[in-house]
Amino acid sequence: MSILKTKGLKKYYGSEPSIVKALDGVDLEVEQGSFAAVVGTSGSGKSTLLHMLGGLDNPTEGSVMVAGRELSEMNDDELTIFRRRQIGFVFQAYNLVPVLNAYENIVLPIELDGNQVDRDYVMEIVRMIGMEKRLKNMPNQMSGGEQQRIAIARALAAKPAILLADEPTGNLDSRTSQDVLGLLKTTGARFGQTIVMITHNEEIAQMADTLIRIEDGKIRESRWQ
Amino acid sequence: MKMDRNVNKTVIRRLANKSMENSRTRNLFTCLTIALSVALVLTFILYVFGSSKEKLRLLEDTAQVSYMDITPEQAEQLNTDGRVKWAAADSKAGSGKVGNNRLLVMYQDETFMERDQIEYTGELPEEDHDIMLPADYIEQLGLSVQPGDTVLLDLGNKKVRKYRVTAIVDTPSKAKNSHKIYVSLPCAMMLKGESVPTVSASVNMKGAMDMDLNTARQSALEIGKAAGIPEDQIKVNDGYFGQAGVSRLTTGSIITLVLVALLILAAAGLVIHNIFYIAVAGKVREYGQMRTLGMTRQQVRTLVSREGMILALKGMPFGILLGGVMGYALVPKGWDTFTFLGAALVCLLLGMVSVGISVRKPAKIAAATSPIEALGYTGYTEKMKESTVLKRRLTPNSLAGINLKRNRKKSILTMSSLVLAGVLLGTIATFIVSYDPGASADNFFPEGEYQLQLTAESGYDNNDTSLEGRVKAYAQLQAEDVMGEGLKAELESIDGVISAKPWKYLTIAANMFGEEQQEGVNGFTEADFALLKEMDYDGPETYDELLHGPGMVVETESNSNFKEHPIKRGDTISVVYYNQTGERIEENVPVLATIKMISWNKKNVEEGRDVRLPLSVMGSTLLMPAKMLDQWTMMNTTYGYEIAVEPEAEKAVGRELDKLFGAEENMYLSSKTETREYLENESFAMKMILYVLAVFLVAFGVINLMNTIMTNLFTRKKELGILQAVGMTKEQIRTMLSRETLSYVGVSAICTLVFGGGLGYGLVRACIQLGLGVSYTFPWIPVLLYIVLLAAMQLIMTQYGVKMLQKETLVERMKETD
Repeated sequence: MSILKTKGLKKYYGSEPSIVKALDGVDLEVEQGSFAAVVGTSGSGKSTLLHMLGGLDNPTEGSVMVAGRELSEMNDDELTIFRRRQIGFVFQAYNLVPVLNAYENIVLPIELDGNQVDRDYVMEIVRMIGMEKRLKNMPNQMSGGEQQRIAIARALAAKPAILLADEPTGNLDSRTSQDVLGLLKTTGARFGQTIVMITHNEEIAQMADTLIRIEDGKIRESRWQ
Repeated sequence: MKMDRNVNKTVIRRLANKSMENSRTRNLFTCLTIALSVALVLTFILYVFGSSKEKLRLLEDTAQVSYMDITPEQAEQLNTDGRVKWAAADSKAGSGKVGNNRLLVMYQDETFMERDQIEYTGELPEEDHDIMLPADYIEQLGLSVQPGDTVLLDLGNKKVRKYRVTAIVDTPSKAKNSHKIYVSLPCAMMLKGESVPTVSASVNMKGAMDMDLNTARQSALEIGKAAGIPEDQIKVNDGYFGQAGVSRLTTGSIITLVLVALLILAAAGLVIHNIFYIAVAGKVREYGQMRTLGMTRQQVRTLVSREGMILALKGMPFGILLGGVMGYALVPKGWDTFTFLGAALVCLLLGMVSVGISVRKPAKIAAATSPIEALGYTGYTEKMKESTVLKRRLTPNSLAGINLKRNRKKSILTMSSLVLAGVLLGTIATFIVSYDPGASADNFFPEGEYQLQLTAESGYDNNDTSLEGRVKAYAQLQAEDVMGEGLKAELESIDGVISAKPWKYLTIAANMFGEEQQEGVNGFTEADFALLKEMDYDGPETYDELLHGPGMVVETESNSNFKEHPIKRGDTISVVYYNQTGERIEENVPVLATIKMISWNKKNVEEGRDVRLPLSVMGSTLLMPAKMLDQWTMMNTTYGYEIAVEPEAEKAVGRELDKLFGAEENMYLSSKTETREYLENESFAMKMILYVLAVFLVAFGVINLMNTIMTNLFTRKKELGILQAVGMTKEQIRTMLSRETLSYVGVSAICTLVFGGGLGYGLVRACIQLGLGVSYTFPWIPVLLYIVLLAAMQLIMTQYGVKMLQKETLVERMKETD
């Protein structure tokens, strides 16, 4: 079953004659529970695609459906709440909130929803990422790898429909990158999470179940690995 | 290339200019703060100097010496004396009542007319029946008169004569039923029944402002001698020289001015410091990059300082202009261009110094940024330490509280500026609303809304203004029973009058300090005696004992001469007075008792007792039982009446009293309401300047708040984007930001109410001790307006700011500089 579907997705910037077609008619489907990697060179449109999938930006044309909901039909607040509940983000720059400790960063989306935290579930994630002893630390007391682990935990904590990772290992060394990728895969498998990861690195892309290649704003290839 | 070459002023200048272009909000707030502070300091300087100048200018043009009963030729000689600035001659012919009008008839030469700013159409009267008539009096008479016409008039001496009108006076008469009729000198002589023309000359001596009283007396004598005028015809105006000293700026007022200027600059400096501090904090990564690229600490410091100076130079001219306009508006008659230029220069220098100091610390912080620190900078300046709890509440409200702690210094600076503004506002506003100079009017009118009292305005018969002359004149009026029972009955018969209470007072000449001076003796009642006994009284126990014979009760604190010439019970005082038959009596009167009224007043103030002195006790050094005063002089020594009226009839009674007695030459009518209005008008400029100070301080606080809100938003663009990305709605963000800034408002409000109110109360208590007319009132309106203004400002700015943020997409905001 497709948890994520796009149809005729376009994103254009500017106007003729200097129009930039970041996405130029993308049709995409991602199966529930799968780990998909979107690969492309710099300027291929992969980050733009991720932003569309996560409702962070509005397409010029086309549709994005996540967990059966059409994102373009939602207003700003509905989209925000939808993101809080159904979409988890892992950014290249970790983007933890600096005034909150590790645990607070993890449970932030749940707390914003006014819901009770499923502590057992959260602690299971924490154990999986190996950060039990660092939960009271502030982001500036943690290394890049540790921060990214917390970011992964945050993305998983609300049990979202999909987890979107934008170059999650872009700021990490190779060893840490391997750790983080392994975590993504393991936690995704453990919780049946659908993951879409953006990367320019072919090697990293090999770790995913599905490879989607994007070039000049169009999907050139989509295959199981 | 030399390794030690570090000369790069041009690039620093260019970087500073570039940085300025990208910091419009900061520039606006900084320039505004600088302009306002300079304007306020300049306004204060111009107000203080201008007030002094205004008084001195008035004095400069006032005559200091009178030469009496001199010939017109002598008056002319005075005018040509090189030591004399101007001399103006006049001769009072007399005054009298005609119908409901009182006419003052006099001769004044051309110089006097100019000094009095009398405008007229026609020529000055010269021949013996020439007169000038006021246009409003002509209108009252229902006549149609032109210059050159002849009229039949009674000028108040009960004789109707033909007069030639040489000019119509266009300047309106000061009172509706009191008019000045200007006549020629021969006409004045004729009216007075004198054959030899004599005038009085009012003289303004050159350099009088810089003379003390003794020098002035000497100079006046010498001028008089040169014109052949004997000493006993020369009178120097002592009051002028006392006032000249008071009108000049004292050390005290300079010190006050300096303190106020420092306060204003400190308040503004705090705001500017905060603005730059926040700006520097927001650019830490930029400075780190510059340091990475090779900029030295000194260059970074210069960069920031230069931005401050550029903004100062841009803001100050507006401040000078605004301050000049306000200074002129407050004291237009005290304006002096040189003072303005000097003060402007001082303000410019103070402004530059203040900005330099304010910007120094932020510049130092920027210079101390290391490249590595800058890379990891998140704006969170607290020490790296674990949180004590695993999880705090993560609602928008609690996130607001957490955010406030992210940069304590910034939060404290913003809070301090708002608190300072609020506390000063509370203090100043308390004083302004509590200051009631009109309340002093209540002290001068203890038992009535009106007072009708004697005044020795001479008729045609008596122009003697010497000490004896005045003593005799008042006694004569009392002997004629002008203020007798008949008048009392007349007053009490007016509709709306509740009572007319008489008070007794006798004008005498007394020698207590080595020379004869005019004094008054208050006649006190038995009821008043109980009050006197509270005043450290030393004398007979009962009122009756004081009636055994004429004797004085002496108030020994009101006159400073008592220090050199102390008086005690048992001493005698040499007095001169006139009795009912007009007989001049010289007598040594025993001192039966002494009192200390000043100390008693002070004690009342300290104990918070509000005791009003009756007129029969107020203001005199000498007192005598009222019954004894009448017996001693063999006449009714009633001097005036306090007229109490029904509140709703106050205005109507006033009109009736004015109609009946306004034109009486020997009576003076005063009202509590008019006195109150006069006192309140006098304090208007002072209240205005304090309001201006309070408003400016509030403006500083508001600018600081606005700057904090705006920078909060724009330096946390990325972070706010992240929060939105993980699911914080716009409303939740707005709530969080709003709660952050409401904390500032809340703390400021509490401090304004508690500390501002408290300091204000303390200030009012201190003023009461000093005897100022104050009555404590909490300044609810200004304080609530301040709080409402801050709350409204934070609401508007937060809404506006969030709206501005939404102009960029979430993705653009999250891509903000790393």
